[in-house]
Amino acid sequence: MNSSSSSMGGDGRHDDDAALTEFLASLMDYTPTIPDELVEHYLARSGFHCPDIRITRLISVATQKFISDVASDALQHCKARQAAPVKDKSKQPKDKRLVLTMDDLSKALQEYGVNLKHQEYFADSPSTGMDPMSREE
Amino acid sequence: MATPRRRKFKAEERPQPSPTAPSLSAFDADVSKVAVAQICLSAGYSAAEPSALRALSDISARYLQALGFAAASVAAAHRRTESNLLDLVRAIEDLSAATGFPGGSDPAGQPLRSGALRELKEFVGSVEEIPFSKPIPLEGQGKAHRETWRSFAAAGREPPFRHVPRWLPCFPEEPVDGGKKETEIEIAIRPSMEEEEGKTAVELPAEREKVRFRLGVGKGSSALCDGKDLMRG
Repeated sequence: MNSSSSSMGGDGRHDDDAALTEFLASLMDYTPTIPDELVEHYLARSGFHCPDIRITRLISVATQKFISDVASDALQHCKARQAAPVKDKSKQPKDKRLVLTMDDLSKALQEYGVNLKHQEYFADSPSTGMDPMSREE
Repeated sequence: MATPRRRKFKAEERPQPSPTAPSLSAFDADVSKVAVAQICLSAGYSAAEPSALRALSDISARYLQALGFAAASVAAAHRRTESNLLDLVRAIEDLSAATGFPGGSDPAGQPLRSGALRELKEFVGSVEEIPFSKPIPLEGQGKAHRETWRSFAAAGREPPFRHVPRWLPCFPEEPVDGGKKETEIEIAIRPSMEEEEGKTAVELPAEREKVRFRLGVGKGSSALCDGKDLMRG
């Protein structure tokens, strides 16, 4: 693949550069969901410095793509769970609403290398909820 | 034991927290929560658990910072302080190593033709634009941050103290009353301060009735101060 691209020579590179310039110009028309001020705030915190606003827009688009990928993966987990036969009829009308849960999110983030664990509830002491016989021991 | 009912709320109807909230450090977390909620809405969700939304917005903020940090370190490795597009593409490729992108196995591939960039292009082309829903009242502060600093030597001024070298940036100037436009946050804080000052600045009337009291020498009186305290003064 590399040899074919080098044999194309200047023409191929010219097309790619033109496409890239067009893409960067289109970024100025496209408004990313994450506002520029927030992106600049986090980038300044991490030591990134670039006066070109198109680069900032590219970063916010990349983050948006990441979040939407995670959200769509979590959505697939949610739909797969709902597709399983549900015997309790009362739950079915509620299932049409898709809710982002911690379970779906942690399963989706597993593929991206992020381990997310969430406590179901917090107990008062280690022996809360245990059998009274074993608690005395 | 019954599981506690989880609070659910619609992502679109979530109220924007007021910008005059006491903790300014949580403001960026709130803004990123709104942005992430909008992205989840466009992905197909109609609601989100508050803890899940908080977790995802925290992760997105960390991803943003990780991208910036990776790009900055690649630029620093090439003896540059300002990052450019090539550094950024390299950083995006590094961070998408977990899921992979087409052409990732080719180490000698040209960065501007990388598969990660192509995927981004397709994403921009396919997804509808979702502008941020609420206005952010931070324009005044943003302009102040973008002003570049000048050293004492460049500004032609002498530093106020002898131990301060001239190549350091100038000290920030004291805000002149009536000069700068106050931000909303300052306005929220300022009136409460003025009220307190008003309370302490009350003038005592010229003629006041005399207050008489006796030190506890008499019988049966609960003495507030003994003779010994008087001696100590």
